[in-house]
Amino acid sequence: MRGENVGRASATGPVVVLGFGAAAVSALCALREAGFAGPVTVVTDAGPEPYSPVLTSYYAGGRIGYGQCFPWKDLDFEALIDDLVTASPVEAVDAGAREVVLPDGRRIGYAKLLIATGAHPVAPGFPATAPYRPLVLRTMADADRLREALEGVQRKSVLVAGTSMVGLKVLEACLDRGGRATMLGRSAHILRSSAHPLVAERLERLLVERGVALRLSQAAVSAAAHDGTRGCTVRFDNGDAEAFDEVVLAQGARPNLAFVRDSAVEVREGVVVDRFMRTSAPDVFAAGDVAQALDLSSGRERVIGLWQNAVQQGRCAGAAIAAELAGRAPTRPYPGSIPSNTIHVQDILFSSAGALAEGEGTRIEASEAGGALTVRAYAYRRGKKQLVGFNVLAVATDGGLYGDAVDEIGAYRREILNAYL
Amino acid sequence: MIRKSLCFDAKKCVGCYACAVACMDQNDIDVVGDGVAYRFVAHVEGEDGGDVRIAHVSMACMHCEAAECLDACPAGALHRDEASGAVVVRRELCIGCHACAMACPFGIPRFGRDGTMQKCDACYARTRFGYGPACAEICPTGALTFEEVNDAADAKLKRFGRSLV
Ligand SMILES: Cc1cc2nc3c(=O)[nH]c(=O)nc-3n(C[C@H](O)[C@H](O)[C@H](O)COP(=O)(O)OP(=O)(O)OC[C@H]3O[C@@H](n4cnc5c(N)ncnc54)[C@H](O)[C@@H]3O)c2cc1C
Repeated sequence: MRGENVGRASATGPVVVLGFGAAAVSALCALREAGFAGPVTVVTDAGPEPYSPVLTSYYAGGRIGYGQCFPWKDLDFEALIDDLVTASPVEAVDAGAREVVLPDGRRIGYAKLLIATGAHPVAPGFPATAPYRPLVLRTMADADRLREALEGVQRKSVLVAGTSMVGLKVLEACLDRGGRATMLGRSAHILRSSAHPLVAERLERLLVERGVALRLSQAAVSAAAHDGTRGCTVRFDNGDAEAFDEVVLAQGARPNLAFVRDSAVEVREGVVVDRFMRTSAPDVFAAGDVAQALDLSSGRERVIGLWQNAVQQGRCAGAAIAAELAGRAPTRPYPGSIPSNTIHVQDILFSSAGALAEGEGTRIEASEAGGALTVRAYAYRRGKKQLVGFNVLAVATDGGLYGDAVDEIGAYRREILNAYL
Repeated sequence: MIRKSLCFDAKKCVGCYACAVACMDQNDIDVVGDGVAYRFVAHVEGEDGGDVRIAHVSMACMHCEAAECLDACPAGALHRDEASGAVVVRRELCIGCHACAMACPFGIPRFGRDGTMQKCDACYARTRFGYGPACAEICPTGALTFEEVNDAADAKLKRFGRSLV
């Protein structure tokens, strides 16, 4: 894949990529496709083969095997990377010295640095459960723990704390393993940031019909670990107490940036980047779940932790690094994105894109066809009524097929993007 | 390498469905049973100076150069076949997540009863041996053709030029 000798890293070191996930792999490909032939070092806290966090719930639920969680089987990593440092969580970035510091104290100089270390799950406000350790889901190690916990014992009771996309994916894994799942959320409805209340209500009903217990508008106030066995008894703010075999926290994620203590790299919600994924520190780039980029629907710079964004930002960063090393200005900026989602829970498919918040100037239209509920949000932009958000909720028919409404989701998403671009 | 690609001229399409049938035959698709059609023919009505006009559009995956479905697939189930340039699905890796359906503005990804995505692969099994895609080979009016990309772009430019004079 290495092209002609267009770019070379300077004497100060190679191109160093921190992390080995979607954004990193995409950047590596773009770097080589642009003809960069100099040395590349990748530092990851994980193993030698990159995995997809998206696949972890499918693996934990038993839908796919371990080997299928590594989606880049066809890539020739030897052509992309000269030095792959594994099991090595980077300790620090020293932007002044243009070096990264590894846990063994080793320092690696860089000509250009890409931070692509993704995110980790957080559990704001969930009470301590020690000595029981609740589960989370992001890495392959997390997936192995969840799989082990769900495997074997039938009818295990599992509390999924959090009603986000990841929460629903964990819920599906539980149901696939024959578990009894309870979903806990502080809001009145699930998927607070992406589902319109009409759709959320319907989805909640469908989940209850499939045996899921919902504890909405509730919070856990304390948890007491069980003696000898796994799990804990959780007390809720409505006075209820319930025993669970397992608790899975799916309350959101934060960028992996503990090693960025150097104030030269500006960090707010994520690393602040320009449209070529350049940070405030010279020669340092960031992409994927660590970076806050343009959310077209809100007009704000924020972290939209989605696979496709990570791939596209990584590509943009890789191409920009190659261009700068070849002495050219980068030309293809990252255009921004809109939040978008597709989530399955068994025979249910929920998809959404854009913004659905009701407000002045926004008009909500709901329709039902072929068993699917569609809610669309329109707003007047540039003097025209334009689609700015949608939800489609569909249930597969006996034959396992979703109706025509689902065939429209890509066209809706494009229409929303066109409203902003 | 000069690549060939499928080209469509709406002015020549009569909506006969020969392309859709040839596609089903080539790919052994039983749409009455479990199959999902890869090629569709849409009939579009419009008005032109008071006259009603009907256009027919034969549609399948366009194997876009910047294919968003490739970026969206988190499972490695979609890849570009280097030789033909076709965007190809590996159904055994597809998890049925519909991320490709969300990414494709043309509504091309369709899902079978097994939950996996299915779509046109530009007959790359035929084209690698020098045959054209089944749909283009059968088209009786020359609306669907399999042409070298440069020739197709050239013909398009000429058509546009003619429409101006
Ligand atoms: C269960 C689950 C389901 C999801 N489902 C979807 C979905 O359906 N659709 C969707 O669009 N998105 C989904 N996502 C989000 C998606 O996985 C991420 O947006 C995407 O993986 C981000 O890519 P990334 O490269 O930024 O991060 P990652 O893919 O997480 O890669 C980060 C890399 O950095 C490494 N790393 C971390 N810390 C360090 C360190 N200190 N030093 C060195 N290396 C480090 C990690 O090991 C990893 O290799 C899901 C996420 C989860 C957890």
